[in-house]
Amino acid sequence: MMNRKMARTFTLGTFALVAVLCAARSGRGGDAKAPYPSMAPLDEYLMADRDAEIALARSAAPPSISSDATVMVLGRHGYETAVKGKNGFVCIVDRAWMSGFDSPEFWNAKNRGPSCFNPQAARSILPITLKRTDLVLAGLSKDQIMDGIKKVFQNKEIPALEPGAMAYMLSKQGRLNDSAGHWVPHLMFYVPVTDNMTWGADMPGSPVLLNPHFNGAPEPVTEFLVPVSQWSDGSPASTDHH
Amino acid sequence: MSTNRHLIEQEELMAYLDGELPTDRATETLSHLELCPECQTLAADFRGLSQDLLAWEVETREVSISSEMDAALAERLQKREAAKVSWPKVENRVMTNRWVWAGALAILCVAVGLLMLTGRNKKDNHSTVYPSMAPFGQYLIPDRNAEIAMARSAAPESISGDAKILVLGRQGYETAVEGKNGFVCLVERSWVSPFDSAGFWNPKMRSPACFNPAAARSILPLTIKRTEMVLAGLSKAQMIDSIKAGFDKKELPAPESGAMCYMMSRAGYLNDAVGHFVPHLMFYVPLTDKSSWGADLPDSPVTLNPQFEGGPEPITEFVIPVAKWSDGTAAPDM
Repeated sequence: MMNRKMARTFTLGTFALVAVLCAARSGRGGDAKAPYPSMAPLDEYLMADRDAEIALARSAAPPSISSDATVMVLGRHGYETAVKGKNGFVCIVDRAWMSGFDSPEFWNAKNRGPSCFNPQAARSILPITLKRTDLVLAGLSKDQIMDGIKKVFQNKEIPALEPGAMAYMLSKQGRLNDSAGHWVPHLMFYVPVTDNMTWGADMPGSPVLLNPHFNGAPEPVTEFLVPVSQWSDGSPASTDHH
Repeated sequence: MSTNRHLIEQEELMAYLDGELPTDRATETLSHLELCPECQTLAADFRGLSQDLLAWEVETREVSISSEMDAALAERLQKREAAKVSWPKVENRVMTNRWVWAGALAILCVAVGLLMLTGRNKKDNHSTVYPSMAPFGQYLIPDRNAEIAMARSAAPESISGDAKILVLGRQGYETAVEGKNGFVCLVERSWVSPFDSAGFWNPKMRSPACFNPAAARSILPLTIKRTEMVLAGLSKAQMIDSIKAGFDKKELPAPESGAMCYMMSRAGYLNDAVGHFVPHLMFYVPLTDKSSWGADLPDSPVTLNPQFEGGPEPITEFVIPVAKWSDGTAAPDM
């Protein structure tokens, strides 16, 4: 039963991702149709209830992982530590500006992407999130943010990507974008920028998908996704997918 | 099995063999089975008993029954049918009667009890199920095309169709088909198991795997190395020493970032306890604690595979089950 559910999850997830990618591609046509052409007021990106944001961040991974994780929440001056952890994982709620720079939802104030980074990713991927957030909060344009990211990599201000960097995204309370909603529970794996074929990603029958949100534009990181069968609370994924 | 020495209870092991455990618990069970000869033997006993019960048929009447008795029985049956007496329908006498089930269950309970009682005494024998290398011919697949097909079955055709294929010959692995996408597919044999695995010399094991380019460069050499040493007739201790030396001298590569592999074949046979297991992906990282991936924690989809784990290869291998076999069919119930 479990694996049939996984099959349905994966199939639906694939369709959803295709829909998301198609939406992103069509959004490149012109800003006139872009639903989120610029940054919304900062308050729309913030969560008023700090405890709710902590809970949402923790929902990215099973409690056996997230309950001992450091939790960061977004404040007016950037992400700040709300709970000090002890297992090396760091859980946060990503905002829309962690999308690809060409995503039409780059400024979607409704997006909430709960993620729990493992220790390797917390040291080498989370700094990208923090840096993008700092640049956003400084009021920079997309082009300026991209330039800023390029510079920090050139200056080696962001640590080199560690082997084994990965993250959990198993929250059904999240909202990844307008098309996919909370999408499906999945794991994310980070490697130095590479071709999707090196993991067999997006090939017919492959359970591996490429997430295009870094992929050298400008971060020199490729992110692969593998859908899994259960949400972080242990419930099966297929019945909740939309 | 019920003592604290084991991570799985007998009931769970039976549920596991019946495909009734959740995937995460099943993968934990597999990991434990890999390193627990006692549990492997018990699992094999359970499976054998189950198969015996399923194969058990009530014997048909003896052919030597006299024609007179045969005729009398036929007449009696005819009379009953005429009287419209309803008899239990016995279309297939294999395990269709509740009393047969009850009897089977009783036998199973007795067998489990006996196994529990004798478990300690059998411990020494458990580690000798495959005490040494079998004749090398038993590890070979006579039909080269069959081995190529099995190797390709580790990944979807969109990947394995363009992969390089290795097959095992009497001199080691050799290239059967040149590839063009950087993946390398082969059928691994039992000696890629942990050195303390009871199935290390199991000649029945067939483990189809397709390594991605990073793993083909940094993990596949370990399979090749182990195979060469096996063919050279080295002992386990000698193999361990040689692998250690290979890493110390950097003759063996460190795992490349992004090294992973597909194991989605339902044609494989990973060990006596799990058969072809479930389709899954494997990820290789420099030796690390399993907690760094949240492996084997409640509700985590990630499981540690103890294949390497510093014994002696300085590599940690994580397993993540996926939904479908390489041919696109949904994976069966665990």
